[in-house]
Amino acid sequence: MYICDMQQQTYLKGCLSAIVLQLLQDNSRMYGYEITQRVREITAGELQLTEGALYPTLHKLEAEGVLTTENALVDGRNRKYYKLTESGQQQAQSAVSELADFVTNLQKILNLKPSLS
Amino acid sequence: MSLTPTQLDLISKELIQGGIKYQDLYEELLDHYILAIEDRQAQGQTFESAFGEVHADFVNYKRPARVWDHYGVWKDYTNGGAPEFGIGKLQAEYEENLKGEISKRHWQIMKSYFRWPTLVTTLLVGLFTFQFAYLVPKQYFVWIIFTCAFVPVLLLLPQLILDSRLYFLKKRKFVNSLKISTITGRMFLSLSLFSLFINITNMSNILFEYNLHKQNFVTVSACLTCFYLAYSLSFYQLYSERFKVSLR
Repeated sequence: MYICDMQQQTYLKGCLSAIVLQLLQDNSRMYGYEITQRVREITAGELQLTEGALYPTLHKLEAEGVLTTENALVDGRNRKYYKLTESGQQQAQSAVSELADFVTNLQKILNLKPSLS
Repeated sequence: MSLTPTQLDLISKELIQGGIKYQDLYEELLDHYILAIEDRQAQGQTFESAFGEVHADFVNYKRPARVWDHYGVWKDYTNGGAPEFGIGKLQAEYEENLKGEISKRHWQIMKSYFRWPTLVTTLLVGLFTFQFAYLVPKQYFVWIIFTCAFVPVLLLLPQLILDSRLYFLKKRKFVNSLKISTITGRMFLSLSLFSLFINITNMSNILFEYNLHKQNFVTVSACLTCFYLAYSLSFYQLYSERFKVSLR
């Protein structure tokens, strides 16, 4: 399993908000650990969200009103679920779109060749 | 594999020692620790190894590089007691972000009352209050202002009582939740302004033997009533918009 190095963690921090917003757009609500597992599952272990990076991002988005939370009792303890607000839905679309544009421009600069598949 | 009570107690103690003092954040992190450790144990790790991995990432959050000072001693410069890294830093940042956003949103709501078209309603309320001030005796106006200043307290009181009750029944580790704690700050602003108004009125009477002229009192009372009405409405809007915590 490929372990993310420090450089990749730096790149990951820059697009963590977009990743979280995209995941929450695809799923009605998710809790913190579920988000880390989902990223690992989608990328087959290539990307690992660290807890120290994820929770500050979730809290910041919640404070800004992009996300809202709801509690549910699971296995005798409270679990905090995050979901997009109405303004969060719009912000999710624009954040993902901006990141996609950024990646396209980055590819032009780095002159990356597309993979043959 | 479910964790034993001893293991759960260890996780709880580490969170509290790390500086967590709010119930909602404590529950969130506890849930994460338990899930992450149980997953690792299911893959064959021991509790100690799994706990170490999960805990290390939180503890190392924003840990600064250590500094070699003049006398050749490694030193971590502290920030006047504020957490520099780890769970405490995570909590401090969450608190700061939430307070900042609440404050910003509250003033946005207040300013919206003075923008078109809500401005029309605001002016009508102001006019009505001013006319009403002539008819109502002075002592009743003080009670009206007092009631408006305490509306935020009334909104938060049920949740505060319930949280305190659960704490004393040992069903909560902490009385405070971060959300209620941050919005309580806005409530205290209202009470502080009310206290300031009472003190200024009393001091002007005592120091300067100046009794407000009837006309001035009507104007001041009407303005203060409008302000407190707007403040209470904005607080209610803020509370129900994003920070309402369901009673459970």
